[in-house]
Amino acid sequence: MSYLTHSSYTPRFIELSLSADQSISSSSATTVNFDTIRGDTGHGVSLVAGGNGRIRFSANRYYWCFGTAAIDRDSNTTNYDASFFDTSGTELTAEQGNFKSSCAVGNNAESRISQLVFSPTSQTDYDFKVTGETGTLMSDGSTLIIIEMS
Amino acid sequence: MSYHPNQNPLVCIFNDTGHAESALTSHAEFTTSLFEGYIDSSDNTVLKSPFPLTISGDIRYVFAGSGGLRSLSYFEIDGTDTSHKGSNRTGGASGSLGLSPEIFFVKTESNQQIKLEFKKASGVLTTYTTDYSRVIGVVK
Repeated sequence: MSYLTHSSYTPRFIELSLSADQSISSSSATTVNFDTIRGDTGHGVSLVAGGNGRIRFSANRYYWCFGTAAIDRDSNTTNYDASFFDTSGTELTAEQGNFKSSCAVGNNAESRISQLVFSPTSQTDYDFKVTGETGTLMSDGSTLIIIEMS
Repeated sequence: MSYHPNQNPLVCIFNDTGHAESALTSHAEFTTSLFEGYIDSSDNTVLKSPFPLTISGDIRYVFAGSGGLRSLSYFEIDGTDTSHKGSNRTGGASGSLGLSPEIFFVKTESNQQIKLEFKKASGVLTTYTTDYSRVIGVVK
């Protein structure tokens, strides 16, 4: 006779945020310059020193990330997106667990959520970037919430 | 949260192609499951898991009509609509991007039939955007 035994994972919450508004001067992909991190004891997420907001994830943990990028837009005639990129500047795909958000033409606010779900087998760095718009990325409203399980 | 040994606790199911829909009420179609949960082999609108789940859903589309489009999206579990819904209204022009302003959640039990239902106010042709609809969550 055999049985299914259970193991358990401890969920931890991490929040990344901006301490001040960030100017977005180019519609090309611009990294959200997260500079503040807080979270539950023992979490494995950090901001890379000198990385201008680059996020470092520990190996062999499970991550579900929710991000919002609130831009006070210079215009509202195009979509703007927020998405995750690898360190070579390539946007992650859905097959890598990345789902970008888009603020639609004519909308002045972004309430949509970018999401990233993945479980790296080695330490991994990613950037959260906005593309397609210039303006001011607001510290009040731009955040990344991470649920980590290990 | 407890899991079987070596089980990935994440859920990530989506459609990797766009698809069009004109019915007033329709169910999202899915193509890809990355972790826990699977797409029914005989019906790509049905998701299942041997484990209870806590999942979120959302949709994204463009539409071919004019005058804007209102829509609701929500989970249907074993044929019953859930009460937590995402709603949205596009801009007025054809081709406007419609997307839920919030994601919506549901908790499921083992082996339930999970669908993501989409209801809109008119029968204009609506095209779901590639990589949506999406269902993301964790094993409960």
